[in-house]
Amino acid sequence: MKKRFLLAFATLVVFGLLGFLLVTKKGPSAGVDLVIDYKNSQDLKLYDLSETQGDGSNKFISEITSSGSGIKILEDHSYKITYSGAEGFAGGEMVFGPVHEKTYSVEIDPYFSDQKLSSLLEGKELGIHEAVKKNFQHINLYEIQPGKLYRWGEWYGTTLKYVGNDTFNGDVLRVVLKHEQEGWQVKTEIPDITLSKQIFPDIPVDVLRAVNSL
Amino acid sequence: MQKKNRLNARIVLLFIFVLGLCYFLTLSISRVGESKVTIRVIPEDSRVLVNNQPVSSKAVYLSAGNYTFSAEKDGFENDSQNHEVKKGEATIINLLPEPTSPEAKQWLTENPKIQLQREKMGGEKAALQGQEAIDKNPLLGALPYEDVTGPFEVDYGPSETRAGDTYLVISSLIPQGRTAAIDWLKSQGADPTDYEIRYHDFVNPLVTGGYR
Repeated sequence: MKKRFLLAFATLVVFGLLGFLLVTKKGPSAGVDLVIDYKNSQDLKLYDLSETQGDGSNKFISEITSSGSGIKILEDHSYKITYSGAEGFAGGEMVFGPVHEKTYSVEIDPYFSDQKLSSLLEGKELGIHEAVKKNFQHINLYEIQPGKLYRWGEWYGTTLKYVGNDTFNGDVLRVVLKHEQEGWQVKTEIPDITLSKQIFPDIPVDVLRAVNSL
Repeated sequence: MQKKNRLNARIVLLFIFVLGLCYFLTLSISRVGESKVTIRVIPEDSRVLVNNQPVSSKAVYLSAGNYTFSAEKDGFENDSQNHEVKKGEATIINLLPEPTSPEAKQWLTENPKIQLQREKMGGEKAALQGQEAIDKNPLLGALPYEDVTGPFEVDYGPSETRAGDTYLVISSLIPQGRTAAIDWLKSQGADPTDYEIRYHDFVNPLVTGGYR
């Protein structure tokens, strides 16, 4: 009788351990607490990219009405937050997930709108071009084209059009500058036909992509 | 008495069976969602590490993700390999520390069979790394690409500074050809920003000041 009891007890312990292992390995998810902080933006909407509605669009989850608000999301799903910019700021979207953390924070801090960046550039561009000219000894072989400001106006990118006689090497080059304390500084030590994120890791990728598309 | 003994024997057998089953189940459960990675290394007594953590077994079970496998041994240069472990996919990683000390070199010279095995594993290692590069970057599967109308050629090579990464080489004697090559890259869904592109025939006038 005692042996049977021992056997039953041992079996129970072993299966209990197995159950514990199973739960800890593949336990049901309690979800993720998503905290959204935002500024200079409005009309924020959260969509579940892992689920679609009847018309094929992404499933709308919720409107975000106050910065710092929290919402429960599923850890295996991907999400998108769309927003429009406040006056002078650009709208956009942010995609994230799957998130394997208990709490996940996103911060929405939009860049200036194209319109505002254009207005900021007015009257400044000649000065920026002077900084380019100072930096390259053979800049006389190029004509500096009108460029654009990026982000909050601290980045500037443009192209250099070749005007020399070397028909084999007359490619358009791209150059990026950043406004720092000392003024505008060239960040592409050697302007190139295309700018690579591997060669210029200190320049934001979105700026490089935009300058490569000029 | 005999009946009681038989009963006891059955209980013991049942207990062993339950324990065996539990061991098997525990092992299976602990490996749920993990993939088997077999690590082959020459010299066999090298110290093997996964993400800088030593492992005793040459077969490890890992969840999906990126790992660094390395092997080290005195007298040999460490060999390291980055690999993305995919769910449910068994992989063989070959690690081949290079002999550097005279003793290690002599050991290899005196063991031609091991040298032969090393060469075979080296070939497998290169094939895996090549396949990984293509998986990571499908564009590489379309290279080398040549366009006689451009005219241009696009090829790739292994980066000297970024382990497991590649660079693209665009060859064309004229600016129009290089522009056509970039347009071709874009038509393949590639963004030039994401690649280190070396323009083989281009001599930058901004640097040189003029002709080649």
